[in-house]
Amino acid sequence: MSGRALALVADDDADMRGLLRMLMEDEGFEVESASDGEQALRMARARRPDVCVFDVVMPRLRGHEVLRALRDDISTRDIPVVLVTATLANRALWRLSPQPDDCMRKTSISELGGRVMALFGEAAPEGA
Amino acid sequence: MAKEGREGLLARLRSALPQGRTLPEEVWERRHRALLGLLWVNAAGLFVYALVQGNTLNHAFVECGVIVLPGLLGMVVKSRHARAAFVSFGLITSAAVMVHLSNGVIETHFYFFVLIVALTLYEDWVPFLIALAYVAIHHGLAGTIDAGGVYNHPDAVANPWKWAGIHAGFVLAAAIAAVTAWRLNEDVRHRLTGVVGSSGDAIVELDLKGRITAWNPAAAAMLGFEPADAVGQPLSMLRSEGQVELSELVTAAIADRETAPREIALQTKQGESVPVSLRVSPIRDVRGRLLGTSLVARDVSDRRRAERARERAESYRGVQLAVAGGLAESNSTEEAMPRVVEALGRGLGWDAGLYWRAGEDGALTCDAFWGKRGRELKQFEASTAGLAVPAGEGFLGHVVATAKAAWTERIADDSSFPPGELAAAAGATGAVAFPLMRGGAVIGVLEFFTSEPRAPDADLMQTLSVISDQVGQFTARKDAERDAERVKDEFFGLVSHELRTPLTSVIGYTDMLAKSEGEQLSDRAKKMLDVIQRNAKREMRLVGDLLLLVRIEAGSFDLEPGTVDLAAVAQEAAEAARPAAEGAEMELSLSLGEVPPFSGDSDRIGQAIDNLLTNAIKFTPAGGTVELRIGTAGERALVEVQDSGDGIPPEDQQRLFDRLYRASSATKDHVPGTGLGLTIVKAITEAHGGSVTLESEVGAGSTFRLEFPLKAAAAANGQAGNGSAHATANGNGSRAPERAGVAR
Repeated sequence: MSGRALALVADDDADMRGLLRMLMEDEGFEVESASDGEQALRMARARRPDVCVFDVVMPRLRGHEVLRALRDDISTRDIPVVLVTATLANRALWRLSPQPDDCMRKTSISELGGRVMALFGEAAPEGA
Repeated sequence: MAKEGREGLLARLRSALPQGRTLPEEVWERRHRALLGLLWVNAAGLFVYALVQGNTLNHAFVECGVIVLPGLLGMVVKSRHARAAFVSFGLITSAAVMVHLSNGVIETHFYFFVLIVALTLYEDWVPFLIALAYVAIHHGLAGTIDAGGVYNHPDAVANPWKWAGIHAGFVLAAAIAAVTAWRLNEDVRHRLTGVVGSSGDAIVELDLKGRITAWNPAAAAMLGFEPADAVGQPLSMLRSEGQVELSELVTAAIADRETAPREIALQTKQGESVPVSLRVSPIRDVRGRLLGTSLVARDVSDRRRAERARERAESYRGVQLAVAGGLAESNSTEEAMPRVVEALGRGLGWDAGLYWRAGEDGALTCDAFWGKRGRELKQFEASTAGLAVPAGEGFLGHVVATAKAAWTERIADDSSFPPGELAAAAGATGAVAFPLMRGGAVIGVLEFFTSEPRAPDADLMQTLSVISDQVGQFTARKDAERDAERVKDEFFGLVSHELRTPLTSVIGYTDMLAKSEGEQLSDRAKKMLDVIQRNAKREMRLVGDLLLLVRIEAGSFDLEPGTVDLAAVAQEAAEAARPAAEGAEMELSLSLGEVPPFSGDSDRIGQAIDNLLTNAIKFTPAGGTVELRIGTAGERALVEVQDSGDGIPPEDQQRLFDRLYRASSATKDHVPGTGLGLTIVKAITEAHGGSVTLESEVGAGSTFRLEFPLKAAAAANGQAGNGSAHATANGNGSRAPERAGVAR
């Protein structure tokens, strides 16, 4: 049992997935990754990560649909979720409830670590 | 042969004789009065003559009595012919009395000839033949028996037959002349009657007292009377409708005031209305003396019907145009139907209209309502909103089932249509409904209510059928367009995603490389990395601009409304532009006035400001200044970007916002850019209901001003869509990971 917090990242683009993984690992997370929405949902239910980072446009289930599924389940509803998107237009999806904890554009993805850590605020994980 | 010849001659003779008894009553009356007057004069004159001749008073009374008695009878008996006969007898007797009192002075016999002529004025065989017979008996019989007494002449006594013959010859000549005149009179009158009688117009003759003296068969037929009903009746038996009184027109005609035809409506005996063009004219005799008036009425119902049909056709054409116009203005069936319902309702004078959309199962849902203003239709409207009628039920179901227009004069009787009662309460009683067809299927029903039920005519049905097709074609077209639009949107979504994904990776990885490995890189490598980053971001922006332009062109550019904190947006834009400004050695200043939050798309407004700042920096020489200001002016939020650049010549100012247009200075100096920036600024601003203005003078810099209406932010959108900054503050901001010890 590692002491590190677990992050689940999901993106259908392998390069992007790798980038998300690296960014989260840099913040000290242990990272699991999924390549589509269904897989992401399955893994989130199985592993109960400390934070999720989902791409919006993914095959099978879209990021916000995974988010909704997680929020509908009492055992996963408290997991913070960050949605990332490549397009402005995807912001329309964010208006659907439930709301993610944060949303980011992929063009400024290098800020992901800082934004995730901000979710944890003062009580940032030890060693982060 | 001889018999036939005689009969032919007799027939010819008969045909040469007048018919008699054809005088119009009032003419006969006038002549009768004149002849009666003559009789009185004769009686009085002969009374005096008798006394002058030395007769006793009694004798004089007797002589007059034989004249006066038939005169009196001629006044009192009923039959016109009997009256004429008595007067005739009395008058001819007066001639005999004159001969008798003068003891047969031969010249007094002339008076017989005068009276024979005078009595033909009756134009009646009875009085004429009485007079003729009297003369024949008096002269022929009495004259030959007592020639001395009758002729008082020695030659007459000697040759009684010669004298009787001479007198008979003169009497015959006078009679022939008089009868010929009588016959000619009859002919003229008859010809006139024939002309008048054959006229299709109603012709009525009135005397000066306003009584009907004659009318033609057309008049009787037009007004629903028998030809004999009218003569002698007062004018009031003819009734006019509306404001115009016939008697006034007649009075006016008598006074010679007006003879222009008037369009009025007459009422038939049965109470029906006949529109006529009526001319009332005075009738005068040859000396100009007024005899009466004539009314000539032309039935104009055919013309009226034609006019009404033309007006109707015009109104139908107008309605078709209005419907076509409504469709042309509409982008969707939902948008079009209220317009169609209103165009039809208004154009055809109905009170209220409904559009029923047909579902897959044939059930109808009310999707649009139109009601004439000022009617009590509010409740009706409220009750119909979203109302559904199951398939096949009632009046509307019938329309769907038969795919044919239907008409009812008693909508309240349709128990399956609840608003029927409300429509009735609102004053509508009848309804017409017709299907909207598309490729043989009923896609909806238009239903209209009216307070004046009238059956739809063929033209109207034709019009409705055309409109039905128009609407059907419209919906088919719109559906096809929507499908095409969706395909296009999907395509652009895909292209957009596919174009950005590789760039996103490039930017993400280079950013990360610069950040985490930066210290270990050589200066050379750092420089290279910087170039990659810069160009990747530029490419990303360009892709964004192009995709946005495509959306603007396609008209599918939509805002994502949220609450705009203009100061935050401006600050962000200024920060983003700062490196470029510093690189170009110019001063970028920011002036933030107070702007209340308003409804809008923060990202898009940010993009617009980005573009203005990028432009300003690009076109301002090193050492210049660029200032970004925000504030308010009245009910509008202001964004101004002012630079100290070279300014823009007037000829460029006009076209600057055109797509792909680049200022002459930009092309001349090879300033990089696509010319998309300002087009996008304009589209974004206008999508917010705002406007872009430019003040510029060559050599004195430029100021671009954006104005946005300060629409209150909608509460529902207050939290959404305002980007990341708000999301972090949404309540999950201070949660710690549950597992401790995150290593770096």
